[in-house]
Amino acid sequence: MKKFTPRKSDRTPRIAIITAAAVLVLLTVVTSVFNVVHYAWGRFADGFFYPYLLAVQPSDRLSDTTLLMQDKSSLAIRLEKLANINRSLALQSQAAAGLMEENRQLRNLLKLTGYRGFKFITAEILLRDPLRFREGFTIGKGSRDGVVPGAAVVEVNSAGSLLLVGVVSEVGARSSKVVTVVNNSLRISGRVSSNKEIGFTNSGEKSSSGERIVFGMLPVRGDYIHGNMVSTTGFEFGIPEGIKIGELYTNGNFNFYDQEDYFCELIPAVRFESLRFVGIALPETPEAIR
Amino acid sequence: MKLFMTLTVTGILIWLELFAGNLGLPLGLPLYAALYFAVANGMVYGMVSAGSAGLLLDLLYAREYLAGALTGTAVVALCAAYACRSSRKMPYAPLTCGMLCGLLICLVNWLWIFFSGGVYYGPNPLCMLIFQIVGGGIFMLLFTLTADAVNFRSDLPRFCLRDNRSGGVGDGR
Repeated sequence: MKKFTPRKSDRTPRIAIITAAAVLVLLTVVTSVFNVVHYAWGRFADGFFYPYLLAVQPSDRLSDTTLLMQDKSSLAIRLEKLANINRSLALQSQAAAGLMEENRQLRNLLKLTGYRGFKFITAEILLRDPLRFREGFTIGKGSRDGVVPGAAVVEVNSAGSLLLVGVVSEVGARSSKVVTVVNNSLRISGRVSSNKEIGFTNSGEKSSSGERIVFGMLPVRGDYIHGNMVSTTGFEFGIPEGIKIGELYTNGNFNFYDQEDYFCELIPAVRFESLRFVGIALPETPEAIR
Repeated sequence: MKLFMTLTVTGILIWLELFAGNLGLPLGLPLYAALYFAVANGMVYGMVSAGSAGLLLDLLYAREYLAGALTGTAVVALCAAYACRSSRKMPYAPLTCGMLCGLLICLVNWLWIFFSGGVYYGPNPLCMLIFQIVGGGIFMLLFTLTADAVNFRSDLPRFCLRDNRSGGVGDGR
């Protein structure tokens, strides 16, 4: 019996299909690996370059060592120069103190509370659960540094204004756990900048999606405009007034009128992915603790 | 010696897992080591490794339930059972076991996020799944090559068998 052997021309399409499939699988794998590695590298580089950028800043130690190589006369000249600089700095400091006092008096007249009664300390983020990356993290400051449960955790943006990251939920001696504003368990009050109405985050039946926070229990009005700023009210213990939480998001289909309350969403002001250091507002006077 | 090796390697991989976690990648690295120890040394060593790693990570991340410890031991038990029933030859065995382990870790992570009411923030989910499967296979292969070489010199049981026996748990000598 004659054995059947496929001709070369019959085998060619099969080889082409197998090659194409193999190339497709390889491309999928390479793309997937690149996607994940690119994602991880972005986060690694974010934190990795920080100490190097800090190290290239000029420091006093460098100038102090050059002084050892100079003779008496040049040292005396430098001393004179430094004394002059000190005098001008003292004058500037005095002027700044005057401005500060004036600012305090004006704030008292306008009854502006600002962040009075709070002092701020900084803390580094030690640990983040990858399964709940934006919903909470652990910071390297605890009760020994004066951190208390309920203290506001903030970030400063490039314009110098404070942004609310979350609230300290549990405190240990040297570390604390922070719950962020996108966590469904955190409910805080916020004031809409345009009409001064007050609502609550993570209120209502729907849970926050992560990209946006549910913001509701607002009085029913028609002037909740997309992009309006929402900031803290200062009603909660440990959270100063006027810290930006986010901006109103009213373009989606989620806006609906309940019988009494209006619900919408907030776009958080903080970019949680790039957070590395945070500030903690510590209540230092009884008036801060309501 | 077996217990010392198990705990030391698990400890190192927990540290690496914390590092990867800070980058937002839940890789489940200690579970690959636990799988290796479950097959090479015996199921008890694998369970101790997976359980302790899961428990420690749950405590460090302050998770509400001890999901890591429970799911970790379940994943390792499943993968070890598969490894013991299939051929344990190089490079087929560690590659397939690693791929299965990676797939299960990824699925368990998604289930955990879904049931805890959280939101997934990592890279593209499909990319993450493929990365876990491919990366799991490669990592398990490299880990087995290294650990088998160390165990050969230390006269300890190994993951891969030298002959064609389809031996059970802990008989990789």
